[in-house]
Formats: sequence, structure tokens, C-alpha cells
Amino acid sequence: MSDERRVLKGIPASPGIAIGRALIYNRRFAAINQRPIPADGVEAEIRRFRTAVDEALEDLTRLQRRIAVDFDQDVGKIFRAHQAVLEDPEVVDVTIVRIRRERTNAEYIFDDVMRGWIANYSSIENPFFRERTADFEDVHYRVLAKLTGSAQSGIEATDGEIVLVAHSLSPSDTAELDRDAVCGFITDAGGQTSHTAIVARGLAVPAVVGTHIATQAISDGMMVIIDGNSGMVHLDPDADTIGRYRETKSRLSVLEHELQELHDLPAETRDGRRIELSANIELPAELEDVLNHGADGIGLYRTEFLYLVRNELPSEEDQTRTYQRIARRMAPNHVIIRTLDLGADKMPKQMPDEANPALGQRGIRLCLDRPEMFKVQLRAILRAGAEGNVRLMFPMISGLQELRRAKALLEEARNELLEDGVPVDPSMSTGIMVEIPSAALTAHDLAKEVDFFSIGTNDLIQYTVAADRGNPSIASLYNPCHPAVLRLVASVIDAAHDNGIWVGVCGAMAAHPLAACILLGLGVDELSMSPIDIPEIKSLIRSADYHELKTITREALDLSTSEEIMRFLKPYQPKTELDVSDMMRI
Amino acid sequence: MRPAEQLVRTASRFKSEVTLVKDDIPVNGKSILGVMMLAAEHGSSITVEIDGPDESDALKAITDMFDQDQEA
Repeated sequence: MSDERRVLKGIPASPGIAIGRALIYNRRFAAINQRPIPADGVEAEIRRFRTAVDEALEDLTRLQRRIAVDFDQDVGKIFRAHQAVLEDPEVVDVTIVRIRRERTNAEYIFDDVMRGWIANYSSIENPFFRERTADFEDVHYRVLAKLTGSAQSGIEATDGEIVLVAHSLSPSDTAELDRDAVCGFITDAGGQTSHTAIVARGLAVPAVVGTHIATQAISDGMMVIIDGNSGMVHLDPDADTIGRYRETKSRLSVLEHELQELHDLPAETRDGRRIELSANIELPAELEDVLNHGADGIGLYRTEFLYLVRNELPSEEDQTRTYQRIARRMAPNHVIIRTLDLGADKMPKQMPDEANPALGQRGIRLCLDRPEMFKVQLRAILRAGAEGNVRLMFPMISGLQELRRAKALLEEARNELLEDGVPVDPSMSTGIMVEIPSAALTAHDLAKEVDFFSIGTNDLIQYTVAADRGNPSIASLYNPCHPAVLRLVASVIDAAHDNGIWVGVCGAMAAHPLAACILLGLGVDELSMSPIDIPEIKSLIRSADYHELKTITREALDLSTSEEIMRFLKPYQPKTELDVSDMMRI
Repeated sequence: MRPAEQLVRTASRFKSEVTLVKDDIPVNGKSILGVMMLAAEHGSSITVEIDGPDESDALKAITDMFDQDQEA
């Protein structure tokens, strides 16, 4: 075992194993000195500045094109905003006028001009505008790097397998990397939905984020191992550890290949019970991954990224286009779009800080409080619904009144569109996330007014046992097999079926082998998970006996502790050739 | 296209100087950074000053743009 000091623990953001040498990515550049320019050198200095701006603009065009192809056109738009800064006369012309008047070097003047703008914008109260300073800083840096000749980044210039270590990575950093050279990311900042995490998953590159101290603990050229499944980073590992990880890595790639063979087979038990396996996604770039892993549809499309990537609320047009793109790519399979589930903790500085964001104004609560913003999204989803395979899902519903208010707004949006003659899905299948105990306990009432349920087990467990799974000192309380959780889940499934609607599960529980068996036994119709987990769960379901699981999971509900339940059920978990979770326990 | 971008694009087509004034603060109407700063707090009125050889054409283009924006 490596000793404690040599292991960093972070948040697993993109799975897989990466072994390589660290490259610390640091976007600082040399201090900008003020330098007088002789009268006969002024025009040459201005030309030098113009060249730097032109080169920066070309870089941005290239990046915009590249990222629009690889990721998402919406992310590409960030670079369009950067270009606009370099086309602004109050930036470019003003710099040139001042170089001439003050006879001072271009980098000093440009730096001063940009600092002025950044200071102006930093003082704006509206957060959407205030956050534009991040765009300015990116442009500022890019032009200064051209003028001072400091390396733009070491990322493109390396060879071999490198692991990129940074405090955080911006969209332009990630777009610029050399994919063939970089085999993994580690960042100090970030969480599972941070930009780095999303891009890493899109690229299928292992990543660990939120380590807090990676840039201090790791030095340039140090050998590191990223375990993107557990969130561990091994620093300067011994030969033994490297050997073990290399072996696991190669076994994983063999396994990955075998799992692919399941691609076209249905998720059907040995005794003929078929359920749907769908994918959870965050951005259109993940669609290829979804199709490659043989998903039956999208069970949860999280729309938050659309709101977080921008400095302003996404327009109805932008949203409609994105939703349509996903619907068309997935057709004829269904796409469940979940309406905005941001909390006050994520809507940056829009609202006063909440002492307890998990119990605060998030999800449907925030949307009902801001109906104008909410209706923009509802209209976009309804319009994409004209494709015929789109379903809509409200998050964080705590009771019937809330559901009725949300449905009334949906109805309003639909009528407005119909009046304007805009094509929509006239009877879009509409469901809710069941993730709050009060919703689970009133599921019978809710089921009468929706078309489906999707049980969000991550929040349902957290709210049922009152434990934050991100908090290591109480994480052991967060247990999917707690009898309270299982009984609640069983009652929601029964309520759905009693009322003739289907019910799925879209939390992490769906991808956990033992828990997936329990859910199957309790009668769920759909399991939705990260695309990469689908083949393993499919293989598990194909080895399972539904009738046996049905009988024993009902018996298990009467047991009184999670230990008893797990001990009782474990022998019934089918053995498959493809047990990734066991293999990953190194 | 957002209104700020649209205004800058329209103003930039003309030789005349276009200045927007809000709360006694003037900004260059051809500067996206300047116009966005004004746009950051909406609700109050903005004065547009146009000065130059093609000022009447510029004025017409800009007022047309605002009118269309209202209808849209």
C-alpha cells in the first residue's frame, strides 16, 4: 500500500485509470513592464499590437470551430464573445491611440485598458454581466501571451502520456489540449458537474476534481495515477502500485470490449421480464456515448449545463435547438428532459446565500418563483416535443399543489404556442422526479395526475436518512439498503403500478449491481444511469431471474437493518462474467 | 442576436459617432463592452447622440431597430 501522504482523495469526475507524468498547468505570465517607445518606433509598436490581436482572433476562430464540432455549439459561443472583445473599438482603437500618445509599449497599455474594463464590470450588480470579467480575463491573457511571447501553454508541446494538473480548467484550456498527449485531468476545484468533469467524460478521459491541493502536492514531471472510479490520485507510486494499476487498466479495456457485444441485446431477464435501460446525460456531446453503450433512450437529460455555461439565461431559440438536436439523434427512442434543477447555491450570486441549500429554493421551487424564466424553458421543451419522442419531467416536487402549479404553467405555455401556430407535442408525456419523502408518501395522489415517475434515489436517500453523502464523517449513514429507503421505493413503485403509470429510477442506485437487482425485483420498469454503466447492468439483468428476485426482495422489506438486508440478498445477486465493481476493488 | 449586439452592429455601419448617455454617463455606441455596461441595468431611459456625415441615416437605422425590437 502507498502511504497516506502519497494519495490524494478527490471527487471522481470521469471514470477509468490514467497513468502518466504530471504537467502543472499555470496560466500566469511574466510581469508587464512599462517601456518608453522612441518616436520613430511608435508605428512598429502599433503593428506589433495589431498582429497580436489578429493572431488571437485567428486562434479564437479555430477554437470556436473545433469546440463546436467536438462538444457543443453552445460552448463554442463563449469564444464568439471573446472575439467581440477584440473587435471592440474601446479596446483596440483606444489602445492604439494611447500607444501613439503616451509612446509606451503595447502590452503595458493593453493591460491597462483591459484592467479598466475588468474593474468596471466587477462593480456591476447584475451577476450575468459581472461574470463577463472571466471572458475579459481570458482575452486579456491571450493577447498578452502573444505580445510577451510567453508560452501560451505547455499543453500542446508535450509528448507521451501526460496528466494535466490545474487549479481549474476553463473552456478554452480544455478545447486547446492535445487529445493524444493528455491522458487525464486533476484539478483543485470543481465538482461532478464542473466544466472539467463534463468535458473529461465527453472525451472519455479519466478525471479527479475537487482535490483542493493537487497543484501544491504534485510537482511537474511527477509520476501520478488517476483512479477516476474511486477519486483517488496516487503520487509518485512505487513499481508495485503502477504494476497493479496497469494490469487493471488492461483488464478494463478487454472488459469494455466484451461489454460492447451486449450492445444490441435487450435488458431482459432469463425468465422474460424486460425493462428499459436508459442514460443520464448533461450535454449533447454525450450522445455518441449513449448510442455506443446501447441505451434504450435518455432517462434523464439534466438541463442545468445550458444555464451554467453562459453569462445570461439561455434563450428559447437556443434551448429549442439543443433539445431538438438531442431528440432527433435519439429518435425513435425517447428523451426525458428534466426542467431546470438549479439551487440558489448554483445560480451564482443571483439570490441571497442560503444557510441550507439542499433544503432551500431549488428545482421546481425556484422555477415557480420565476415563472417568466421557467416558461421560456417549457416553451422550448414543448417545441422540441414536435419531434414526437420528447417527455418532460419536473424535479423536486414535494406535493400535489406544486405539481398542479407547474402543470398550469405548462398548459399556459402550450396554449400560447398553439395560438401562435407553433408546432408542439399536444399531449406530451409529463412526469415527476420522486425524490422528496413527502412526494414518495403521497405517490398515490401524485400518480393520478402524471404519466410517469422517476425515482431520484440520490436525493431521496439523503432526505430520508438526513445525511449528506458528500460529507465523509456521516457518509456511512447514506445507505441505499436502509429499510426505510427500500420500503419507500417499494411503495412508490406500487403506487405507480396501481394507477397504471410506469416508474423508473434515475439515481446512482440504478447502476449499483446489488441495488439494481433489488429495484428489478421490486418491479421498476426503467433504470437510467451514466452511459458507461449500461453494459454492466444489462449483463446483470440478463443473468437474473425476475420471479425469484420478486419474491425475495419483498421478503427483504421486512428485515430491520441494512446489514441484514444486504446479507440476505447478496447470494441472489446473479454472478456475471463482467463484474466491473469487483475488479475495481484494487 | 441580443439587443446590445444588434445596436453595436447597426451603429458600426455608419461613419458618424454614436454616443449613448444614461445617468450622465456617455458610452461609445460602437463598443459592445460599453453598451453592455449600460444594458446591465435596464428600465431607465437612454439618450442617443449621433454626430457625423451620415447622422440622419444612422438615426433612422437605430430607431428602426428599436421599433422592430419592441414588436418582436
